[in-house]
Amino acid sequence: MEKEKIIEVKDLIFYYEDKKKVLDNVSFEIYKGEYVTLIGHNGSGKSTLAKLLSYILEPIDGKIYIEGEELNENSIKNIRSKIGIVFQNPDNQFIGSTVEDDIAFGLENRNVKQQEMRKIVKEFATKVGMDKFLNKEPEELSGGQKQRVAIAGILALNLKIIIFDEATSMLDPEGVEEIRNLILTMKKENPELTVISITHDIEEAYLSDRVIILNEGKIYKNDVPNEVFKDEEEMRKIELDIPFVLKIKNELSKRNIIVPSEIKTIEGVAKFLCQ
Amino acid sequence: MRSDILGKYTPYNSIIHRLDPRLKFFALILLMVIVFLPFGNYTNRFIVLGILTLIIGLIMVIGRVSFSSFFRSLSSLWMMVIFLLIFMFFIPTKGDYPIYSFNENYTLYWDNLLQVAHILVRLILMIALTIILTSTTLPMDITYALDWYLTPLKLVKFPTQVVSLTISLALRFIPTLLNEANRIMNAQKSRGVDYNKGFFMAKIKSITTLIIPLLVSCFSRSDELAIAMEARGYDPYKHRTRYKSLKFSYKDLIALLIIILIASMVITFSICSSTISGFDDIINFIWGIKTI
Repeated sequence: MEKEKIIEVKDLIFYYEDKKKVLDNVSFEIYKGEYVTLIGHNGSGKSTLAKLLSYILEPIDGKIYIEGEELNENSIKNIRSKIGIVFQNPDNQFIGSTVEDDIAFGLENRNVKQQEMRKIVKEFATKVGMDKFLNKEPEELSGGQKQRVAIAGILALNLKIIIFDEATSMLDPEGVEEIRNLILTMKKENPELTVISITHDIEEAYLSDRVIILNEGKIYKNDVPNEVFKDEEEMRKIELDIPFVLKIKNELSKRNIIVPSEIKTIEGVAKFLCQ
Repeated sequence: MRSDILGKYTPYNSIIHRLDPRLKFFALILLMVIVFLPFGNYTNRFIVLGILTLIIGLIMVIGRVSFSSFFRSLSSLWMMVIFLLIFMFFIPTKGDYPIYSFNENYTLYWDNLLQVAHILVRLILMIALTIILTSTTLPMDITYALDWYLTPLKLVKFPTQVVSLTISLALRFIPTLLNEANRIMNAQKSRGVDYNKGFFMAKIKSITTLIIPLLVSCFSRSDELAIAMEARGYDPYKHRTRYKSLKFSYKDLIALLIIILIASMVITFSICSSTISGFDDIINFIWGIKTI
């Protein structure tokens, strides 16, 4: 498979006023159509990296390229039209007064015609399973539902890259599950879409294509999930756990039952065992 | 807490709900003006206000406006009544029907009481009108209506879209902030703050424990909101299309005609009432019986 670089982060250095390096020479690449998760314990610099990627903060040194274009003050407007960001707090990114108004907000900014807008809003609300809530107000929705609306608003814009900036960290377990599944279906429907998820949900990380682990401002690991989470002891050392499914698989392998590495869900393991 | 908000939108599907918000807004202003028109003597005034009360009551019934919440809101008017009565007592006016003469300079008249009643009825009608608008129209639609009325200002480069978006965002965040306030209050209560106890100063002191965290969260929210809006390509000075547009249908036209008909009748009556004094005879008659 030919890989096309869509995001390139080069020697990124960042520190706040105290001069203590939050990010220290961070470099990585993300390819078109990939689903990459960025994980790390608190203080590893992952939130800062998220802010740098969405240009809320400016890097002290180093560069970020998006589709070959350097991220800076001049290019940000153009680049924003390629990237959608789902933020952490479901309330503070709900702009419209109802679900449909919120999904339409980005479309209104792009001067999409009204007739077309109605079709698009309906289509994407259905995609995220919110079509029955079109005229509901944010107060009537759960956190997970609000995040789904935010995702619909971004999907509707037909962007190439979506960044999830700890989008599930304020949700209840049910909401986390909802969003996790939504990302996977989204990817299945549109393999061209590049998804970067900054998260501390290791279960989500396990389901992604590639995991980048940040530890103390440096890239600690950058590999496929099965490789990254191979060594439980090592993960513990950097204050991370390994996914629950992997724990089961490890226990099973001690009993000489080898579950294939493609199986990544509990349901999958159960099915495999029943065979 | 939310259900108690006065004049909160109630999602019914009445004719009043379905009317164009621009029309409702116009009708609100027109009827408010009418309520405050002068109509010569008190008899005339109360006849007109009585008719208006009937009409407004009818609209409330059609629009399924909650009467219980309306009457609850009126209960806060007693402060106003006391204020008006005191005010009336200290400012002597002239009238035809004295109650009691304290001395030759100061006499209390029935007219004064009538005046208080008159002001009160006007206020109640005004509250009713506002409640009809807010409980039958989505806040967003009111914003659209407002935006439409501001359109002429576009000629002088006034950013009407910015204004209407600001208003709609403010409306959108009212319930969110109310929830937040509730949460903070509960958190402070669990730390020993008592919001109900104590006198004036103690209450103010306890309120600061609510206001400060609320303000802090407001600022961080607005910051995040601004980033989220920018991330979705919002530029206040660029043209944006509209997801919703308002439609003026034949129903609205009929409603408009009815409103204008009522208004013109009342206004005509107001102009003529200075010449008609027939109604005054009735009150004179009643007054005559009482003095006997």
